[in-house]
Amino acid sequence: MIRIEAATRRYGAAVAVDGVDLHIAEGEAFGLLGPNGAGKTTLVRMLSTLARPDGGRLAVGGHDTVTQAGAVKRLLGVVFQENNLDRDLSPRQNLTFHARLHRLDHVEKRVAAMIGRLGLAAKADTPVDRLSGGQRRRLVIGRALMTEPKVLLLDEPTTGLDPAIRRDLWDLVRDIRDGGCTIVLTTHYVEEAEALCGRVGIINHGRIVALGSPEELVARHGGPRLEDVVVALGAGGRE
Amino acid sequence: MNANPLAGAGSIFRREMLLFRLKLARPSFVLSTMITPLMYMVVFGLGLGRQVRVDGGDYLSFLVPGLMGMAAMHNSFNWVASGLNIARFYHRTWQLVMLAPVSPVAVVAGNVGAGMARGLIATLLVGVAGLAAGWRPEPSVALPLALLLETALFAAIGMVIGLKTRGMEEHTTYTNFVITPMGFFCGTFFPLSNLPGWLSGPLHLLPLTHANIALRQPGLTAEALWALAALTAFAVALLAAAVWVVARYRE
Ligand SMILES: Nc1ncnc2c1ncn2[C@@H]1O[C@H](COP(=O)(O)OP(=O)(O)OP(=O)(O)O)[C@@H](O)[C@H]1O
Ligand SMILES: [Mg+2]
Repeated sequence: MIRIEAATRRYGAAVAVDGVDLHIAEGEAFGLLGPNGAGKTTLVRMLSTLARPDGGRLAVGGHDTVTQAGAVKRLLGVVFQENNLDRDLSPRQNLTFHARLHRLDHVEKRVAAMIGRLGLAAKADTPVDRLSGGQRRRLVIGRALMTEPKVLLLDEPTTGLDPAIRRDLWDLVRDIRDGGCTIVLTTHYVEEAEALCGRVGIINHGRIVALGSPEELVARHGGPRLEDVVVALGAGGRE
Repeated sequence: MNANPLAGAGSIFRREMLLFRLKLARPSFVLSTMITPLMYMVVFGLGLGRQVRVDGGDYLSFLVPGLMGMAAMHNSFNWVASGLNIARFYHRTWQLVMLAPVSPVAVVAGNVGAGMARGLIATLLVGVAGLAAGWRPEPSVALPLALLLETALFAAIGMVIGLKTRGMEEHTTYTNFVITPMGFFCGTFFPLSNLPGWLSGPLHLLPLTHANIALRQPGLTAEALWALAALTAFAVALLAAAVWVVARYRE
């Protein structure tokens, strides 16, 4: 479903993503684990078509993200690291705009159903400004699901949220995964990658330094836990 | 798949207007839109202008249409350019639009349409302030036509600049060095015929000059038609530029 070949992106002299090769199968839930500044967001933004690679190529569903961006966009749901919401508008208004922008049918019904699924009925008409961090994150994820994407990109879906709310969001992501959607998720949290992802890539300084299922990585690099692998590979520290 | 290149424009327009309505509901918006033109009217129109006659009329009748043209320019440009800046760097909602299956033409139509609406509402407020100050205009179709074209072209400039700048400071630089000087030199406060030819000639390369000419014509005179034609040419070129910038937008 996703093929990344030698993808590179520079910002000035700095190399944010440095020759990443990665194949992700349809229906897979893939975790990209790495510290601050590792290049996770840059990779997600290139996959989303928003950022152009300086070298290499990325394809989603067989479509090139640069030359066939339109076809890629139709397959994707994207949840960026920041909650990019209209804060003066309500969840209902935010979802409605998104649905209309994508020219979905039965907009009102779909929006109401999504608000129900997200458990935001009580806040449906409250300005987003007055929602909690967890509620906003739910809303952003739910918005990306409105178009029933084949591939969902989740950039740090739970960073900064308390453990109970994170677990809540994990349930939501599992639900999406079990619906057959291909998921690429970035995270700093080892346990999040373990909980949600069948396969994990550890990224540091723009390179994938280890790749495999959590169990494989532990077996290959010495454990006893995935966390130890991350630390051993030098990807555990903060920059 | 998208046979209609304008599909999606309506949703962009509606969202912008929804956000604008929230601002409009606050009295501070109405007051801050009217305060500067009102001060000009009092200082130049009523104070200084008592001794001045322009083109055979009193100064206030000359000044108010100019102030309307200036408000149209500032508001259509600013709302679009600063709105895009905020959407790109602060709320990051612009990225949503870029990831949606809408054509660049639709993106420009939605944003420019909303910029025009906001510019025209601000212009109307200035007109009302003018009436309150004693301005008694002769009705002329040249005025609304000029305002429509002017808001369209400045909203298009707002799109280009809003998508090319790297933040609010750069936006302020463009406003201070490009937009504000136009307001002073393009015939808002005095007719360009007062200036020497070497200065007034090049000023005809600026769109606001033509807006100010058309705004003050009593109807569709030859002079008005020329000015409207120039405005149309500016609008078409700038809208095309905006479409081009949107189509090539990447981060
Ligand atoms: N717009 C930009 N301009 C300049 N440098 C950038 C830009 N975006 C990212 N970088 C740099 O590229 C590198 C990778 O950044 P990226 O945001 O992809 O990391 P990340 O893994 O998502 O980090 P985090 O966990 O903090 O979100 C960093 O060194 C960062 O400073
Ligand atoms: Mg990031």
